[in-house]
Amino acid sequence: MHTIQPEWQIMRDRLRLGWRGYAAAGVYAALVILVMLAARYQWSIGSVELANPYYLHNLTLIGINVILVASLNLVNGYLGEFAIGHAGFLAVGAYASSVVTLLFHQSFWVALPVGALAGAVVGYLIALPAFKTFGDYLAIVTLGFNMIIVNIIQNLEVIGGPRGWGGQPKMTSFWLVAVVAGLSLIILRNLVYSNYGRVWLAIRENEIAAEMMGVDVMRYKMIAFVIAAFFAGLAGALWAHYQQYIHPSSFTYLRTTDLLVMLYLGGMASLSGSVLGVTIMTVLLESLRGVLSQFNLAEWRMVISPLVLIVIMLTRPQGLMGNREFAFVPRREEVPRREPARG
Amino acid sequence: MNLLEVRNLSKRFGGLLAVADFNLDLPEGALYGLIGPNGAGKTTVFNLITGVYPPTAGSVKLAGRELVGLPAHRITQRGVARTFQNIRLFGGMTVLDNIKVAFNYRTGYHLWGAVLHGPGFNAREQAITEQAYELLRLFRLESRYDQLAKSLPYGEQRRLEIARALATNPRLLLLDEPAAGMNPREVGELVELIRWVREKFQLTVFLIEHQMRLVMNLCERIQVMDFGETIAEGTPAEIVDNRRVIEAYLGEEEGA
Repeated sequence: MHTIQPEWQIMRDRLRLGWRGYAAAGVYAALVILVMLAARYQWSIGSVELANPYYLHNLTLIGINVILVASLNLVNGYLGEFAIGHAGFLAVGAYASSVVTLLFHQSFWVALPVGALAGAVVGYLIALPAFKTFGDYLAIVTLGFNMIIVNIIQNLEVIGGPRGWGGQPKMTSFWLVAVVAGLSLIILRNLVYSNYGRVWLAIRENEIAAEMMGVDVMRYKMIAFVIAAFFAGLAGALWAHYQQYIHPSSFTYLRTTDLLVMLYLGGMASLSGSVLGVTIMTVLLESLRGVLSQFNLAEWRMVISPLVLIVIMLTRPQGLMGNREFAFVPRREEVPRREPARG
Repeated sequence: MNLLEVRNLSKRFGGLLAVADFNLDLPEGALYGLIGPNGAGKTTVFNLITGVYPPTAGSVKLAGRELVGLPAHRITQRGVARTFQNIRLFGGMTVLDNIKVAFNYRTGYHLWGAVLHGPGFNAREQAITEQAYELLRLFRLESRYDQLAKSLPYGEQRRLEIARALATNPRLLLLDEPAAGMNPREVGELVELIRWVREKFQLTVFLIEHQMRLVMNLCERIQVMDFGETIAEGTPAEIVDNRRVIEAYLGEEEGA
């Protein structure tokens, strides 16, 4: 019954990217290299610099936010829960990695995984009580956790307390963020297109039916939450060693809200949507900064993101890409190649 | 040899005794029915067997092993599958993915395999896809494989739910009002489908149903519940003549 697959097709199935995937990965890598070259040799068109430090700065922030929003999407998009404490894990990663570099004087390459693992461990400890609840209650538990983390940091003098904490070595560069964000997206995509992603969606669609399919619902929820916290911790470690200064006020629920706006704009359960949402919001807010300050309206910038959220909810509640991906992410289904069925 | 043995199963919700001393001996390969008026506690019995609720008292043994106290997903993994009275498909997922979810506890790869998408992972995923697709073919749903489950017509949703239950590789299949909302022609097809499924997958089947035609045609023995209690048990012929059953369904005769 099976038709024999040509060799290249077997290879393709093994990597499960398809030529569009390679094309996309190639374009992505080419763009990164181009930006690097442009920055290195200060290419310009006329008087416009192609990659001035300001653009690179924004691209770096986009990369870090992509990691944050794509991982948040696991819990809020695929699993369908409403967790609003993501900035808390960002804080854990940022401070844990800074402890490694500033207090223990270890290399950044030790601090980076430590930040991510610290996020995962704290995520596990939060998930244990948090997933005894769901819906609104889960939101409150995670929000409470976010506030607790910020309060703990403010009261720990050894890590700077309310004054913030600076002096981290500048180890995070645009290219590092580009590579880490790319790898994170590949890992998240692999997870989503596996049994794990399938089960998360099933839990979102109908928890009782999932349980009746033999799904250990609690376990799968924990896995999603811990993975999301892991990547938030990773982003925190990158961020601390990019800004070289961290302050408790950057990790409050306001930060989580920013991430949620990007997530909802891009669309739930869509990784390409997360990338899109982050990019649009960052570019929008940054370009408004210049425009608004010309009219002395700079503080109105903060009105924009709530406004965007309201407009999305009213006009396109599923977000730009809800439940869909760009074509270069392969379809979820790979149906067996066989003859048309009879009888 | 009895596949399922239920002894004195009871469930109390506050002041309401939803199920009282329910007993059942279900031989391997049997096809039994459970009937009763609305609110008699039939679905609660299913929920107790499958572990959705813990029983207040009693025991449920599958092939001699106790099920009470196990979490619901463990009971499914032991070989009990069910469908729901109000269809509970994964509406926003494709038809094929609905089936593939049932393989979650025997994928043959772990988190690392899923993160890396290595060769072992792809071989296992391919095998799961093929088994799921085969099941869709048996249920004549293969042409729908990439459509969202919620977009299927009602009858096909019912079929998909049965197919999904079978994908967990059960020994015992519990069907909760499989004919609800079906017209007479569809009920006829369903009777054939259930017979065929039981033959093909060598299953033991226990079903709840309101439509007498289906129950009388299909079931070897019937148990009747009313207000949580078992009021009759026997072959279909015995049940239709049973006085208490007639009273439960039609009400007592005035002054009799």
